[in-house]
Amino acid sequence: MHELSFAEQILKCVDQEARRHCARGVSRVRLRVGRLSGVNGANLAFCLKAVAEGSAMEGAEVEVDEVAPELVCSDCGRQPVGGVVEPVCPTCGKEAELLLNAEVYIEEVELDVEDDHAEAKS
Amino acid sequence: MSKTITLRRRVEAAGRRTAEALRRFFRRRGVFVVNLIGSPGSGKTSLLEAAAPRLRGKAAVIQGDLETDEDKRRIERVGLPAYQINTISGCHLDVGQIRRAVGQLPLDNARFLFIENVGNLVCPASFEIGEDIKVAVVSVTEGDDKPAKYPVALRVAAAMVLTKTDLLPHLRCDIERMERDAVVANPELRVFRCSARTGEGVDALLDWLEEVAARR
Repeated sequence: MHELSFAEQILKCVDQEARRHCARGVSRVRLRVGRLSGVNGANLAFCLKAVAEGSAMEGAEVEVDEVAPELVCSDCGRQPVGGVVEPVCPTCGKEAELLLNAEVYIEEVELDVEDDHAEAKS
Repeated sequence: MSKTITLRRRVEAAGRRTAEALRRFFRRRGVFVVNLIGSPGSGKTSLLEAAAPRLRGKAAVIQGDLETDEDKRRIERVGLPAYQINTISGCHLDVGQIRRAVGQLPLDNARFLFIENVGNLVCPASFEIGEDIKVAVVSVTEGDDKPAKYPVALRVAAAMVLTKTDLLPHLRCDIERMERDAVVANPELRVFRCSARTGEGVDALLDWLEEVAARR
């Protein structure tokens, strides 16, 4: 259940953002969770909803995009891979860069704001 | 009305900043901190017991377990100061627990602090608790598929110690496979084969730790 530690950090961050924009509430939060982050997306969403009770984030929809590691080839572009693999492009066989994408990001928050504040401090 | 804000902000598990502060605290005192991660029964405490003769007078140990102070007593019996943390149900040690423990341990002459994490090859890998390096402890009795199945800890570790190698003649264990899979997970990983029973490999591990600590 260590997703709870991440959820607490996310709540703190979203709460700050809501206050900065004088929001009445938060309607949606979109997260990006690396498959290799050691964090389970569904568990994180569950924990986030639990810690959000009583905060500006209460009732917000939580979307989680799970991201696989990727191989980046200068010719063939980015290709998702199943796990930690040799840094070789599966299409052309050239040396490629392996991006682990093992992080957790808050991508986007949707705030419920009064009209007067919609343009301010963005 | 609603307003969408693009944040793209990276989130760390709570406590990352405290971990940084704790790391600076240890560094100022010249203490090199090793976070030992491995399944329950992988031989973390036995490894420390085997290393104790060389560590006496220059190391302290923090033990993490759900219950009991058995490990603390084992470490004290071999002559090292130890502090026991009981997490009750927690699956890993967190930085707050380490911060509180540090005040209870004599660190004045310590060159090393070993933190034996809660037995668990998964969760402790995600948490920084003020350590310089993580060392993964995997026993050959766990099955030679474990590095392939549990690569997360190996990815964040500087070294993997394969323990209980004295039992190899009695096991169907392909130790080379363990090493191969571990290095696929983390090409930088140093691998040691150790037996706490016979003492095999313990000196090599300690030599390496001294070297890494000196280089820091």
